[in-house]
Amino acid sequence: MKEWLQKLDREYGFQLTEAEMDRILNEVKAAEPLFQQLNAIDVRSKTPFVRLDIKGAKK
Amino acid sequence: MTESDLENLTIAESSARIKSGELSPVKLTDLFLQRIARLNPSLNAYTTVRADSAKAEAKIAEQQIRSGNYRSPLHGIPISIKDNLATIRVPTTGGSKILVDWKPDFDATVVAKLKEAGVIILGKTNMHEWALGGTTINPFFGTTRNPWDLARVPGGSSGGSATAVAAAMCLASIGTDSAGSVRNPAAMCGIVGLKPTYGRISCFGGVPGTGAYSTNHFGVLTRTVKDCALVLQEIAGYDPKDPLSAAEPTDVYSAKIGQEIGHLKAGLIGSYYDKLMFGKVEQIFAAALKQLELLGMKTEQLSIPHMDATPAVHTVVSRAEIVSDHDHYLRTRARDYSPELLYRHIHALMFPAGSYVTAQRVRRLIAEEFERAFERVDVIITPVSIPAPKIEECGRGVTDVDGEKVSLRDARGSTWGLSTVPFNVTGHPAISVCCGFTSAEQPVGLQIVGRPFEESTVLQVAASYEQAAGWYRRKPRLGGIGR
Repeated sequence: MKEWLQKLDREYGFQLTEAEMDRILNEVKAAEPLFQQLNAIDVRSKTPFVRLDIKGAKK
Repeated sequence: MTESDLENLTIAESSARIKSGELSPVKLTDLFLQRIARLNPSLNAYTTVRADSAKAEAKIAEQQIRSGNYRSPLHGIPISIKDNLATIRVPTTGGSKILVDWKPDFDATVVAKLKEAGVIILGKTNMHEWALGGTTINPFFGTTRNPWDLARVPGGSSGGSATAVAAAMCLASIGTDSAGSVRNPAAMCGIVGLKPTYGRISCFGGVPGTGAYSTNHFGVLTRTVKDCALVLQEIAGYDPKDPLSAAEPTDVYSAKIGQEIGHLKAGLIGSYYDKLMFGKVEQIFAAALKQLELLGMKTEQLSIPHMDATPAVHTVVSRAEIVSDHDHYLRTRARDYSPELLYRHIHALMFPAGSYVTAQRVRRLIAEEFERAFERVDVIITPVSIPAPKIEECGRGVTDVDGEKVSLRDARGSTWGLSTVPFNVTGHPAISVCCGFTSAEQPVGLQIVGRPFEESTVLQVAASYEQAAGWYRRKPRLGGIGR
């Protein structure tokens, strides 16, 4: 992860300090459960929901 | 009429008097500008006040009405606009340092529609930086204060709009809601905040990067539900300039207001929301449900099996979409973001692309679960969970709700967003209406959610509750400020 962050830092020219990189990496680590939660859900029959394609409000 | 009379004024009352000639838009606008001059130095609700332009617009409105050209119930009504909606030749900053000098050469569709309806635009309201947070503690434009307690935040990101409405510094405001940014500040300021169905109001002219494509909505903040319906009427509808706007026909949004709700059934999602009620909020919510039952509504517990995944879906989808809008500025002006926001954007650049698609697939699963739930009920009722924290508590990340310590955020985002983001994920219309006060005299919101494009039913239930409960009559005490 740190190498990836360093690559982004170079590409975008952020000039992040070590402390800033540590903070971002901590956020990355803290967010891991979100991705794990999504990846654990069976979505094999589901297409992405990219707009509200309402069929008509049901009464 | 005097400036203090504005505190009890509504659009519904004013428009009838304006139409008959009893109330002058010029006089009304002058009174609002006086009140803004008195209160804004303390509340910081407005970033731009258009005093001269508003006066000129009011004169034109008055002449038009006198000559028989009455345009709509909003003709001559003074309102405000959140500062991430494009307004021609008026600063539109998005609450950011980067756009501080931007004066668009066009109006957002919603602004153009409001002008066509004859409103008077008093100014632009303060907001959370890039609308990406819920406090309206803005490092560049200052902190907006909650009119119920100036030591507290108004919520956000439409915090300036909510404060302006609650403090009677306008009769309505237009905000945006990508995670609860209309409903949460409305709840924290004790007013009405509506996020209509996804696509119901055109988002053309919203500042890019202030809301995710999949989850952003424009919304309405007012003091009463009826007023909310009147504003929605003028701004709803398909817009060819916004490819995500809905072609579904509009409704007469105030038509059901005042009608009985005894035949309607409300769904509850206790498995999700019970964990989000702190301090007296549980008691206040229970009392609100009791009030709805007294009005004849039946309630039923609903099962939304993947409800707990809605915050994760929202976080992954919205952050990935938003960072795309910021790519240019991240490459050229990265240090003109607040550090917290910069780090959040950099983190979003590291999201795996596949996770975005997975999140959108889970989103469909959740939307289908809600579709099945809405076959059993007419509306869903939830709390808008957290009352306004103190400004200093936002820095510490912990608030006190009636003696209970509550963490303000975790990896999923802000704690208060947890009650609102599910309906940004699904796109259902949702309104917040005041349902009581904590022991610290802070307002609490009741969220009423409807089927897609059934805003009329949402407004009907909200209006019935509002009138029966009567909380809308309570006003913040601001008489001593600025005198």
